[in-house]
Amino acid sequence: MGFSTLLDIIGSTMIGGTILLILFRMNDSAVENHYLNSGELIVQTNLISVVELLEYDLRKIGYCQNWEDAPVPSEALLEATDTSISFLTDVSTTVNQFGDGNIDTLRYWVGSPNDVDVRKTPNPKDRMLYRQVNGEAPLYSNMGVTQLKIVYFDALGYEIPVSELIVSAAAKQPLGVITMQIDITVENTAAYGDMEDEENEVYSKDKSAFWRQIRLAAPSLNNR
Amino acid sequence: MNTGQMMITMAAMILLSTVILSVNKNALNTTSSMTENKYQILGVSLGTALIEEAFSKSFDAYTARDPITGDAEKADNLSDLTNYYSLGPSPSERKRRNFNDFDDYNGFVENTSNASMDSVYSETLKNEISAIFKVESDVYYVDPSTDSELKKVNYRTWHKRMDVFVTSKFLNEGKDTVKLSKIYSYFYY
Repeated sequence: MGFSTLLDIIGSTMIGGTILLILFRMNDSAVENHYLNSGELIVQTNLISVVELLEYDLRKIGYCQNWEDAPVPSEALLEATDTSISFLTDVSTTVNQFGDGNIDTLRYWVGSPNDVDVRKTPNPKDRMLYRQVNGEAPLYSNMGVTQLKIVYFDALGYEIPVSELIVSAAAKQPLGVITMQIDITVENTAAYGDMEDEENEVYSKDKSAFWRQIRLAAPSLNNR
Repeated sequence: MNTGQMMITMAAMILLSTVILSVNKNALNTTSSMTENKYQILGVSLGTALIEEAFSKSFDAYTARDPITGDAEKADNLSDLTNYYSLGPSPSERKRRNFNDFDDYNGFVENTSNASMDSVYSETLKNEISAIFKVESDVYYVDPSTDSELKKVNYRTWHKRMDVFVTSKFLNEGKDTVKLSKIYSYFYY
């Protein structure tokens, strides 16, 4: 074996090794991208699901299939805080999507990031979203909601302080809410990466999906 | 290594480089699309908010509720309504807060600067800029009895259509527009 042959072997081994390293790195990137994109898809799908559910129910504040039993529009909202809302409506049933004609009380709220159910997830900020009908056992789901913030406005468009709303609700007085701003942020409950590595924070805001809408408390609250 | 072998090696390296660049480009494109989707969702929420707000107002300036007396006129004839070329805010309705009827949103333009994507609830800042969206709206009369596509007509009808356009440099570098439409019909009972 001559010297040039030896050089050929060493050179081709180095080139082959480099190519192999590149392929390994590409494989790593492909796997990482796959997980990140799947995570993004889950986050966006969850956000849309949460928004669809809330939109559907909030649109029907003060609604009743039997219109003669519909509550007084201004009294349809029972309680309102920045993380919860309780109102009168006619909840859809499996038999009739327009409701059974009886007034129901529907309540939405988010739990704490320290609740037992969400402490198991790697994301330290996610909260449980609860939905309760007529005081029954609440249904809940961890869709990765990290923020559900509701801001309430009066007929002139001014923000109503939550403390004022709590006092009005306790006194069973109309809350005077005409529009409300709903902010929802959804993150992955278990994103790709090592969350113990603080420098490589996986639960950062650029991996969340956000929805902000200012909507009517209920279309029937205004007389056109 | 002779010249032939060198040529084959060079060709292989070029092929490998092309494949790597292609894979990298695809990965970046996917990431970019996913990010754009998030901004499109946000754009839809902002557009829907404007439509919701407009629907909380009266159908026409003529039927708007008097802020002092609380009375509202009932429109019996189409001639009571605002003429098609006068749709938009009156000189006294320069601010959005003062809009009192649906067609005041004709020609409305606003840049949103406080659509935050911050996920930390307690630290959400009101004016934190994450993405700037331009929200525009047009309101015009439509006639469903003559036009199934509900295009603009130059006469008064009982139906007004609102088109909302949301644009941002974050939506395909400003080339994409989120468009939402809704029709408001006048009824009185």
